[in-house]
Amino acid sequence: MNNIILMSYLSLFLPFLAFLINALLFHSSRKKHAAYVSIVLSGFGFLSALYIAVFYFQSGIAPGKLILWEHLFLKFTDSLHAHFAFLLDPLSIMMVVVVSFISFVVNLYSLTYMKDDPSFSRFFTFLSLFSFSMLGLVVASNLFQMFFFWELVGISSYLLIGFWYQKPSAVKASKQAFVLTRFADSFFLLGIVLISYIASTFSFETLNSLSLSHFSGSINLGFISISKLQGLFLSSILIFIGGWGKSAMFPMHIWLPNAMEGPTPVSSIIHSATMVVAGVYLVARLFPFFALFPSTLHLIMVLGIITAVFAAVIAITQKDIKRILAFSTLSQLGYMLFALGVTSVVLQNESFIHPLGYSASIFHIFTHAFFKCMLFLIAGSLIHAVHSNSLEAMGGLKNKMPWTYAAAIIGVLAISGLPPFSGFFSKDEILIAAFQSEHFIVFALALVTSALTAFYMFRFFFLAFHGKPRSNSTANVKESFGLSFPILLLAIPSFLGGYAFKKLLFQYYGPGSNNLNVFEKSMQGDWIPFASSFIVLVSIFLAWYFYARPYAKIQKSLDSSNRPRFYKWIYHQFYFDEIYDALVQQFLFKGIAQTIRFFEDYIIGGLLKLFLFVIQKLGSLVRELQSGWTPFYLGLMIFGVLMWSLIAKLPI
Amino acid sequence: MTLLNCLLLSFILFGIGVFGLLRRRHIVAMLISIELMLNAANMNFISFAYFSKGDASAGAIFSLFVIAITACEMAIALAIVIAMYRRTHSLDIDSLRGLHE
Amino acid sequence: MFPTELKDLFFYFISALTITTALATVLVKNVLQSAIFLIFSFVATAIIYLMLHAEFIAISQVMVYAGGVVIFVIFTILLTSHLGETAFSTKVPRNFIAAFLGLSFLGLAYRFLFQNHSLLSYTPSAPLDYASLKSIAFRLLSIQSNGFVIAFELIGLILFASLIAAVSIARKQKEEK
Repeated sequence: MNNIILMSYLSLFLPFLAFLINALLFHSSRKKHAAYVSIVLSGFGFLSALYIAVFYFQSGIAPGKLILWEHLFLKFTDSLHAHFAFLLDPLSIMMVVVVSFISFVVNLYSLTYMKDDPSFSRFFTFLSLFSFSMLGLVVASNLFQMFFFWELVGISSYLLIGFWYQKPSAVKASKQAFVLTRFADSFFLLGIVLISYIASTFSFETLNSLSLSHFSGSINLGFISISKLQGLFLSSILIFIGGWGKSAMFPMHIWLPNAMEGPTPVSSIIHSATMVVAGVYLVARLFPFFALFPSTLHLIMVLGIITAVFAAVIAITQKDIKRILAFSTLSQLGYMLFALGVTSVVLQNESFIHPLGYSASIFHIFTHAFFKCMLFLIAGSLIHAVHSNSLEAMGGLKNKMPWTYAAAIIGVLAISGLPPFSGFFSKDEILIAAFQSEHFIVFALALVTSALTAFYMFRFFFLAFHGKPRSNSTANVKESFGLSFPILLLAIPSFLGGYAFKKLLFQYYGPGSNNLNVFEKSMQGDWIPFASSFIVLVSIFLAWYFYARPYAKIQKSLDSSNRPRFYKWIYHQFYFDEIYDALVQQFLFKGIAQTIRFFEDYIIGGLLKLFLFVIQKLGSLVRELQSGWTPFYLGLMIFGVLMWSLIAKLPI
Repeated sequence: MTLLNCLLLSFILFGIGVFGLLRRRHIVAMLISIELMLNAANMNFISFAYFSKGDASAGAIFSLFVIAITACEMAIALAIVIAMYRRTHSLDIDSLRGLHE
Repeated sequence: MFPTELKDLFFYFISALTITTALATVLVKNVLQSAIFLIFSFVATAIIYLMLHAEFIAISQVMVYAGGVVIFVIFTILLTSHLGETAFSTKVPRNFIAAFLGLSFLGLAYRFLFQNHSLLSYTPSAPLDYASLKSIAFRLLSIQSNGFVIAFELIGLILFASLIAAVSIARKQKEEK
């Protein structure tokens, strides 16, 4: 047991140690050292995480919860304490393993990818900080610790997205990500405050075993008085809004595609298993609590499916490969979230929970982490080789980058969800969950999304690797082993991960709470894997037909000028960036900010100037009094005596 | 000749002293005005000593004290005037603003 | 000494003399002249002291003020201003303010003297020898509870100290050559 505690400290704090070493010792000159420190320490971190996982699943504790260590962090009241702890349960250990593995692989990849960057060591410093904060987030045993690391993730992602701060677009993107997630986090914090006020606890364990019948009476929010049940419901919505922003759900999604301005390894780590799934993780972590409120779960489901379809549609039209992957990430996040949402079944005014959606969502987090990280790294390799983000400059890379090509096949098949690749298993679980909980519209939309996913992924695949080279820079491309090796490392779990994890899934990954009203499934849905596979195959064929058949008009299909208006709408991502810009410009800057500026300038500033004027005048008056002119002093003295004797009541 | 007359006389003398003190620019002239004011105060002592039923001798003695203190004050003040004159060659109070700095 | 009515008349006359000489002291431009007028004013005051039966005080007044202090002042004037010919003119507003503040003591007199009717009840009630040399000397040097011996000693000390101080201040410093 002591071993495990030591290992848990190692797995959490080794990235932090790497951050400290890099930040304090290697911040400037010694280039390679920083990378070696990060790679070695994150490698050991991964090994210790793996050790904990093996121990946990073999010791028979699973799927029980275990708090390995706990330190008192802040004492708010006598009963409300915030702890800093390491929570061990199936969900957290899965995340710890995945995050430290991805972090290790991305560190390894960045060694080659970033080798010419002048701020090489700064990159590894931030990357280590990011890994640490994400690990701290997933092992949190209470809301407060989670929020703490949640914000740490926010700031380190801000630093990473804005890593190339010389580029104005990167600065803009990092600011946007920071502000948008902070906007959502403010609601999260409100939710934490509200729930800790009502339930007087931060602990997930207590929150997950809440029983609504214990809460009666009302609380006073200052301007309105609501019952405690309503307060809990409100806090569940508020907490979810934190995840809403972090997981970039519609319409707060715009920071995620723009965050592609960061270096590709950053996109890879942020958008695969870490920052963006934090929102999904939050909902999963508090799932029994959310399950108390079917309306919240419905909101989650609707948002998830909207984002899934919306992002998939946009991804079809994009030409920037990183943007394609970014919208694909959005779409997959939508998948995970609506999978959590479909668990809620309302039949004849009684709400049930169908636990399959929960398990499927976690499953999808797991598989998605590997293949999406790999796809981003592949995109990074392509960009590294071609020196362009655009599909217009690629094509015909199949023979020049054979290893990358092989990995890309695995990646796109995995994300499209064909058996036996990992994505198939998790996606099918989600589809089955949606079908069995009788959310048929969501189920249909999910099928459409999976077809769209296969289409845009194969569009990317065919346009990048097949056909003829479309630019000069593709001619002398060489594959670099330093980039291919990490990709191949990820190819293994992308290929086999689904099959291996599925066994664990049904054994250990349930909602982990016994006071749920479990829904007994009525429909089997055995046909769904076949149907979805068929749809995916059709999509792949269509993609091949449009982009890779021998006489395909690739130039024309890449040309976006002669397109219908609807296409342009999609291509410009429904002008959401522009809407946000207009909103911020017109409403925030011109409306509110200028009003406040006016107030500041003329009223507060005016008051200040008035005070200044009065005080200056008083000062000069007093200064004039001190003239050094003796008769004046004498006159004042006599005047004072006169006043004193005239005004004061002398005892006569 | 009543107490009122004497006190009124002393008030008037004091007022004249104040008037002189404020309007003269020559330091010695200001000292002279101060002498007038002290003299007025002295007259108050004597008047009350003479007219009140209390300890009359004490009033007289206090006026003696006042005279003695005045002598001290004048001695030092005139010494200062001389020292100042040596240094600045001026006895105009308006031009002596060294206290200001 | 004087018949009552005559005494009053004489008092008024002397008072007028005192006030006039005091005013002259303040108003004349030449400092030397104002010192001379000051002597007259002091002598007139001394006469009023005599009328109040304070002979010893009157003599002291004449001896110390008129004979000592003012002569000292005159010496100083002669030392510094060459017969006091340096006269400084003052501006009208300053004269006006000085006059106002001086006159306002008349206002004080009005408030504290004429509105205070208890003053009318005072009559000459001191024993005739209250300020004789003998009684003053006894009180000054008495060590009884109503004696002023400590104050007397202190005054002597102060006089002594201030004379030394005056000499040391007025002395020509050796550095000043």
